[in-house]
Amino acid sequence: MAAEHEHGLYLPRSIELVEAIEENALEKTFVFDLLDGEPMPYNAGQFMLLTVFGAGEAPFTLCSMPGEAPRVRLTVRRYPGGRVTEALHAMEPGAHAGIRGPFGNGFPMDALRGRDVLVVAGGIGMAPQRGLIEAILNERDSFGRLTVFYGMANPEQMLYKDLMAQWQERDDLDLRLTIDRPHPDWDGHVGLITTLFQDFEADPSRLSVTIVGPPVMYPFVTQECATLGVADEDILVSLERRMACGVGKCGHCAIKGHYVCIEGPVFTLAQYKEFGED
Amino acid sequence: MNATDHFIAPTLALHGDLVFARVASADAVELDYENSLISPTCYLLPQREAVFTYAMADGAPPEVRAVVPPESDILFGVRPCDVAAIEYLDRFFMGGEFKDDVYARRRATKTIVAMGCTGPQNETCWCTCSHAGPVARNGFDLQLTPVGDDYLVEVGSERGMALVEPAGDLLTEAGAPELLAERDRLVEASWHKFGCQGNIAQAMRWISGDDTPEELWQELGAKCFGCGSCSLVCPVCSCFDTYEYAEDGMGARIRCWDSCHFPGYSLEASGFNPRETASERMFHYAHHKLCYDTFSKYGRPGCVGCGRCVQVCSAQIDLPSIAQVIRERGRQCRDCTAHAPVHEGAGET
Ligand code: SF4
Ligand code: SF4
Repeated sequence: MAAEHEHGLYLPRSIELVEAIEENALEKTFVFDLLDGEPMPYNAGQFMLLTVFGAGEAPFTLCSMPGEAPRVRLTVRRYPGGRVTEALHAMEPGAHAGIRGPFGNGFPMDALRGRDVLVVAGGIGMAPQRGLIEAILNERDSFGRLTVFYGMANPEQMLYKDLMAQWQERDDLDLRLTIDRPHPDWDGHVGLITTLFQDFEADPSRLSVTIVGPPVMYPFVTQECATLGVADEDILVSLERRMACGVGKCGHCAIKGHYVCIEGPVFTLAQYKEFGED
Repeated sequence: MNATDHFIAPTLALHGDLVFARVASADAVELDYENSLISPTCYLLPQREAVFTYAMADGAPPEVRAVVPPESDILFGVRPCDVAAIEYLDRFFMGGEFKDDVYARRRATKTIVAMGCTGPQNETCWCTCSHAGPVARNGFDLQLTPVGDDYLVEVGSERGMALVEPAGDLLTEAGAPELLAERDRLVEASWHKFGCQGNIAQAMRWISGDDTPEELWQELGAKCFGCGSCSLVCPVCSCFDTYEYAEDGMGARIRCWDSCHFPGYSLEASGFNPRETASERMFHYAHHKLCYDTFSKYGRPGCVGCGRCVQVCSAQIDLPSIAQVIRERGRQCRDCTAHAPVHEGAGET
């Protein structure tokens, strides 16, 4: 780590916007090239701090597949009034920005190898998990069954529509989509993401579950996992916290002495319950 | 003193407040002073500082420049509580996986000349309880302690040695052992004058064992105004936020003090706030200050007993008061609901 920070912990590396893909009304996927040409190895689930010069810096989880560097891909929701996300959404290809990272632990790929994996993604929670799914598909034989639950409020919100269509064709990935309420353009499953557990059978001793979504989703999904018999050690959650540094100094992400930016953002449910929410 | 060194010392500001500031001559230095409301740690972690600057140009990536290290300074007259705070900040910013180079650059240019106390400076001092004073045991380059008409001079580092060498003829080694013994006698005799005794360790035990009732945090939260003053004046508190300052194609990333008591501290862009209520924020603040997690990482509680939060908190729920309520109510409250409300225990330390 140390060598990567020889220019200072807080100095961003220059990146150039290659493409901004409009996913839906609020979310875009930004593809950036690193201008120094240096590699930037990272694990699925790690995050970066992105600088929009003139606006500020904010943390975003990478959604690219590890190994895609020196190119990075981030899906970002625009929050009206959010200085960084508004400025980012206004950027055109060719524009420059800055990036620091990768930070945090990412998904424990070693612990997941050899196991069945259930990915539970609510809304923009698909973004950080896309890298995980692609990393698993990349070494498909090292993992058992791969199931993906992806829930969203309505069909327009779906991220990576082309990729979803491709995934649906595959027989080594079981993608199950749901929308919260009936919609004229939708003939698939309707209901909250927890309803997808009704037709899901698994051997809980072989199953690991990863969960990323809006905060309200976690208690309900972890309850379903408990009913299924999955141990808290095998349930992984990725926490989102406000961060101003990414390196355990600014204090914002700390929960009872645990820094989400260093020890997380991915925790087992057992760890999370131990330090609890404060 | 090196000609390029700035001398930062306790001095009187325009309206008579004691501050640590650059002094042009020895006459301006106060030698008998109550500690300043803003700690001299502000020269290590300033209220606001540029982390880097940049120049924006059309079609080219902005040229990002690290901030030039500051010139060297002698911090003169740092009280032992603040010396302990500097040791804490050093470990926090420069230890662990990531070394904060912005802090480290400032720190490298500072020489610490401590001024030991032989008793409390005012009724809010509680360093004896927080294991930080009244004299520093380490963490200084040089420590002076007034003993009678003399000063006991302790050298803590080579830098400190370099400072005293030119003053050779003012110093005598002959009386040093007697002065040292006399100072220690004065310090010990002053112990009972410190208002608050021995409750931080017990409060730490209760809070680390989660032996604090929920209602205690709600009561403290209900009293807190969320003004953040307690953490802004605290020399140990180190939370910061960053913001951008940009104009005419030039810009800077600025970092500035922040407080976990501010409602917006943990507020995320999505509108989700993991610490939405004042009681949750109070719980977080007290745990960060008093839990063994802090102790095991930094070798001391997150409080050095300087008493500044006691001076600024208008709700009288400063850290010594919090520690006292935890001690009084921490354990028995598990089973007993007939306890005194917070305000009767708080504010009397
Ligand atoms: S918590 Fe209060 S008494 Fe303790 S170091 Fe901070 S300001 Fe001083
Ligand atoms: S100074 Fe007192 S009122 Fe203000 S935030 Fe701190 S505890 Fe709350």
